[in-house]
Amino acid sequence: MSLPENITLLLTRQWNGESLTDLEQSARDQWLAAADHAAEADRLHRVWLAADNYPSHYEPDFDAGWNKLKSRMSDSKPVQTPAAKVVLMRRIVAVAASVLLLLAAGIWWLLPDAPTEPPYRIVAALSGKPMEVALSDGSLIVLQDGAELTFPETFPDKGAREVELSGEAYFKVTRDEQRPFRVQAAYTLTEVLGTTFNVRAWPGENAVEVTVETGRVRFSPVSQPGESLTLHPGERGQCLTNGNLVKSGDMEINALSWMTGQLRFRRAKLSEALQAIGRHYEVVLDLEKTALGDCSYTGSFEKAELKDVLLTLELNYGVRISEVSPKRYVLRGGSCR
Amino acid sequence: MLRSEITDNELMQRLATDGEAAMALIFRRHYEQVCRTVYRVVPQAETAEDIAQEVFLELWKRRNQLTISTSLGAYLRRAALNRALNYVRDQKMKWSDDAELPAMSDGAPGIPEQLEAKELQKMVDQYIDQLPEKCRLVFVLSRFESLSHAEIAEQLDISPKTVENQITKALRFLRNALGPYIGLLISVFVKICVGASALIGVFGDELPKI
Repeated sequence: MSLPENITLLLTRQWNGESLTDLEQSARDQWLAAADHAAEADRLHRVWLAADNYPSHYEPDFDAGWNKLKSRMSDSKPVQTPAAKVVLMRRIVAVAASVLLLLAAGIWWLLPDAPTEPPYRIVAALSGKPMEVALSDGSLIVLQDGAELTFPETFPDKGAREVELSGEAYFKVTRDEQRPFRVQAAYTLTEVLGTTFNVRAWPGENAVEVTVETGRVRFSPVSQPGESLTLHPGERGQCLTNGNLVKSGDMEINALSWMTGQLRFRRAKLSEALQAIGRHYEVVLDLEKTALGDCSYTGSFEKAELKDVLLTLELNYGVRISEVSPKRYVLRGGSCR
Repeated sequence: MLRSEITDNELMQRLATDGEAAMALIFRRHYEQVCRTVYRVVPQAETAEDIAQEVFLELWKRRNQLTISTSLGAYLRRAALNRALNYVRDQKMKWSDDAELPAMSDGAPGIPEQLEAKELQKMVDQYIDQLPEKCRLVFVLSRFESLSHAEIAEQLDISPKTVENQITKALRFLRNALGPYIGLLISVFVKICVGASALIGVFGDELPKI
């Protein structure tokens, strides 16, 4: 006897510590209730557990590994700063150790810097959820999972407050007119005095994007600081890889959905709603009938799963949605209703 | 490992002042896990250990700046897994979708009366290694890295449906291949955990009381 695929998959997810929905649990229990089924599930579980020591025959060569690492360690100085960071951090002089407030779930280490090290830190959000970082000037930054922020422990008394971002983050910058706040993200520079804004600069994307919530932001390519956009609340600027700047008047209302988990649409065009949904869940949603893109959509989702969002769309427009390739869905048929 | 030993947390702090000694301890503590994590994805010892080197060297280079939002072990494993998956992607491995599972001989040829725990473990390993590469990789990522089906699909650039097919395929194959020995599996697993390699009798298909 072999287990049906859906039950096998439910069991492996359970063994991996994933939580099953009520529906899934009852499907599992119903199946297990039949004669012999529980015993077969138990056999499969043993097979699953037996793999635990895989690969039991493999043992790394510990001594060779350590000797090699040791010689490479002595050849490599600690990262002073990668080239771009040297420019960014040049003006920062060594200062006394400062109190750096880091707010985040999980375990934190504050590593003491050797006196000769530049006093800056790299924080990487790796725990699968957004992470908050508080800077020495009181500014607060929320890093999207996977993003990395480089910043000095203490900002200099004079001159700009400079940080470097890879990935996406939301900035709430404490106002200080004497010391502008600068974010270097990929090939762009964003400069503010005190505002809230979002920077999206994921490696591999064809533009860096800044969305302003409050205050005023100057946004420019690093290579041409003279070319810049001034962005006001509700505005969004994009800098393409070739340095071209594009400004759009209306801030994407869902630009911060990665942080809030909320998606909201009020009489939005369906084509735009699909774009925001796609961006939030990192998928592509295509309309077979492009005319549907002009339908109006009103609705909101709060920390919803993609499948629930898709189901809502199916119900609203009578479309049939199928995944045609990884992370790519097509909406077929349907009407505006 | 004694509980009174220096913690990873303290080791990270000492990396800055007392570099090499602290690194030696971190290496001793985590090298094997890091190598195994990589090796499961890239089953070539030399390549796996090269990738593991990079993980530790990166930690060393960034020792004064790095703040990690998780435990050191989890950070190293995640870094190792990312590098291993990058390697797989860079190789642009082509997997044939219809790769056949090895044929099973009908009926286990003479189950030995007694089986050394190590031998049984080796057999489990061999059957996993016999899986077609894509199937093996999907199984490993699900079984050891606890990645969700969607994450595996994204990492390997295949559809979630394929991921689910492959996990089922792998488990059915292992279940059938290990069928005659299933009664032994739990007891062997427990024995290996306590570090003994005792002789274990055959208990048929029933779980022996331990």
